Amino acid sequence: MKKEMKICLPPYKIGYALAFVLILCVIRSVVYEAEIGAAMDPLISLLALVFCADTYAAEASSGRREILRLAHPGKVAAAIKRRMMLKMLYLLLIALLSYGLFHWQKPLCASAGEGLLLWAVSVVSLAGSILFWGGLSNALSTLCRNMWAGISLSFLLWMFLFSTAGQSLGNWNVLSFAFRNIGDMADISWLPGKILGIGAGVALLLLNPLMIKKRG
Amino acid sequence: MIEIRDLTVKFKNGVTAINHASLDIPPGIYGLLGENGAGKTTLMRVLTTILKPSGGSVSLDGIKYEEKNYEMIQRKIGYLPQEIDLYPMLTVRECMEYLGELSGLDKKTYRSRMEYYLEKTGLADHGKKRMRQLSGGMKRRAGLVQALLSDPRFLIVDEPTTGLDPEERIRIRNLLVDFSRERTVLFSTHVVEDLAATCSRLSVMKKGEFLYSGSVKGMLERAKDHVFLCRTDDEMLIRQLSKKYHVSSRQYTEKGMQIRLISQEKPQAECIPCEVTLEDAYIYMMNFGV
Repeated sequence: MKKEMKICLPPYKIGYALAFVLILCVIRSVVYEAEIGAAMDPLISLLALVFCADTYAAEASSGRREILRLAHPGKVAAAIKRRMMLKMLYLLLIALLSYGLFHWQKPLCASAGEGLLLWAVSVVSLAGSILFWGGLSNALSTLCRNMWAGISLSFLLWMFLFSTAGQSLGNWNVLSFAFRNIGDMADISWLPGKILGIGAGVALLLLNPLMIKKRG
Repeated sequence: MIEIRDLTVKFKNGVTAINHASLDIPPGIYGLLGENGAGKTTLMRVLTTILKPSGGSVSLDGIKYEEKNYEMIQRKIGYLPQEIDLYPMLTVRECMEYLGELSGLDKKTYRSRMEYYLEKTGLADHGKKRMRQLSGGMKRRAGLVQALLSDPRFLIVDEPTTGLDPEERIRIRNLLVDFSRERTVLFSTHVVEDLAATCSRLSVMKKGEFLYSGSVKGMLERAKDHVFLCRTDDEMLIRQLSKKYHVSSRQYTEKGMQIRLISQEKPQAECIPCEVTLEDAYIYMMNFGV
């Protein structure tokens, strides 16, 4: 695991991801605490799709793919899965840090209980987004054998889903959490989109060994 | 033993990289020579199962290259690609251990092999250095260690001596010779000198076909009486000869310039037939075919 951390979390990646969330909580203004999760969700998705795109594609660009073809397929797939998990865990940790840092703007807070509920809901939503967008960009990069293709295609989908046209998907939009009614604490209409995203993210992770076998 | 029969590799863009090539690679070191784009790397990628051929057949120790056998074949192969950038953030030892784990070897086995080959390649003292801190030659040696970790029956090395200093090159050549006992090593290189020092058999590739396959002695034999040594001070004559014949070397000596000419017939100048080197034979083969 230590070696995998060194491989998938080099200092430059740790640095730019951290810088992204720090800048995010400085430049994205929020008035209400309930806005924080909604403000972060699409932008953390954007970070995840860039951050995870090279998880397997880096093996191809470095020429290591050719020697990994001769290694044990199951162990290679498990290693890639571990790297994905580490990256996603790191993204979630810095997203949580960013959530806390948003409070420097002194948003209008709900009660302590409501604040905790908002935090918990945001964590679930952010985890779902990281899982979906990270899994998608890695899968597309593996299939296209090119990190930039994976990033570009995922970004196009992100742009569509975050646009007015994307809002027409309603509650089935994986970014539906960002469009929810923040004034209504009981609103869970965004759940279908999030569940769809989590399901698709898990499926992409499970299908990754097959993608590596066919296109790796 | 590797048997290649009527092998053809055509890419989607219509380029034929290997054209109906047949070859037997016996145990020991087998050299592969050829100009850039001759199809050497494509051949090696087919042999490592990275690339599927468009036609023909390949077998390794009697096992046919078919999808169902790929896993079995892959376990018998070690490969050092021409360009490889091993995990830059890991130390040399960590990197080898990691690749050993991914190969499915047990810890004790890959550790003992790693130590043995790090020692043999002169990397033992650099084990704690990160891969990105290594020089080009050291990276090449580390690449070779990873190829040897699984103790393969068939080792494929693509330009293993690129970027190595003379001492390192000799060390790697000797390591490959030692390793090739009872095993097969396919050694592709541009450095003819490396093949002359290690191989007894080789193939020369040109435009996806084998121009020559056989013993080094046989190849030298083909170029016999076609290599001439000419000594002269006359610059004009040297220029004329260079235009008319293939020059394999030029050397300034105390007695003037000495040039080696490759020609089908005796050049129209004062020159004597001389002993053929593998480099001369290669140039003869590339220009006059079989």
